[in-house]
Amino acid sequence: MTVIRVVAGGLRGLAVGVALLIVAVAVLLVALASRIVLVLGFVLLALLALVALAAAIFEINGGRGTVSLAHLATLIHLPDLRHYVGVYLRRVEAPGPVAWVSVGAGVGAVVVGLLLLAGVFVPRRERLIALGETERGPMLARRRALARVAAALAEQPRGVTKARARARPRRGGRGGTLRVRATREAVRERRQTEREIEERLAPLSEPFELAARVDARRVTDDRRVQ
Amino acid sequence: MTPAVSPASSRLGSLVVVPAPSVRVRLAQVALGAALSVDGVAAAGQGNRFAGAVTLDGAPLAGVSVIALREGRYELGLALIARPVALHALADRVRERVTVAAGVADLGDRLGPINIVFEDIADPAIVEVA
Repeated sequence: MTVIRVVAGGLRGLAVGVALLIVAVAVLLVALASRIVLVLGFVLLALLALVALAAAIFEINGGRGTVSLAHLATLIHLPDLRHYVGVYLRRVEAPGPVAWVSVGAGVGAVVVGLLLLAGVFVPRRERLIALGETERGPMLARRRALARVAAALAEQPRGVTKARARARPRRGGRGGTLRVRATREAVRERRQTEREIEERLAPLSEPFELAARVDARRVTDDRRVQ
Repeated sequence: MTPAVSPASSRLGSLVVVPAPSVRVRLAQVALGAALSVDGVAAAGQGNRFAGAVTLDGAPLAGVSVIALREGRYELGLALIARPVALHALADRVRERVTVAAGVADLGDRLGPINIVFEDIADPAIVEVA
């Protein structure tokens, strides 16, 4: 009984993991849809152009000559492909596991297509960071503006070789989070450097309620050579 | 040769009649001019952060948006690129200057909330930001 429970628990965990993975992939697809479609469109157009060029060239001779469509079909093994596809299509037509897999794949393809379409056509609005609110209206800032300021501030402490920053707004409220990743000289102590960076960020983070998360890693030797 | 006539104007004999800009467009022009005159404002941003983008002679007016509210007032959106100065104080100065300029242009009673977005910092190597 215990073994069954353990297995059932494991399967349940696996199912939850798979579900989370599917959701993550869906979110990623929507986020990157416009780029994916751009790349896919280019690749498919290039392939189409190549196919059309080959077809045009092999149409020069009719019949079964060297430069003929029939010979082209033989070159790319279309008769073999027809044989395999024919077998598969017959299995799909007949009731059985292959038919159900095909139905699943078709539904999956439709869902992926819909997600890609949603990613392309649903407009994405950049979330701004609320810095303050007065009776005359709000004061907001783009993430990039604050991130650039934070990076510039984080590069000021002694021993910091480089800093990158990201700003994220808080959901439904003022302020947000500043994530700073800096590199430091090996001789500098990590915590000390992070504290110094946080102190430099204070004029930005405290009045605008931005929680600073600083990570000061040691610069690697190869970077130092560069 | 037929003289060119602007689509936004019409000719009555030799008199060219140009339609006056709407209150919305005037408010956008006044507000943007006032905001850009404030010390600490480097330039206008792209200004597409709010709905209500304003066009003048067919061209979009960058950095400003105006949305009509009830009772004849308008909500203003200003997208600005700031110099490295204290942003809270800068936003206050911009609001004050815009309010004064709207009053001078006889648009004071049309002015509603002023939303300010700092799109970028002209030179981020700074110390004073709050």
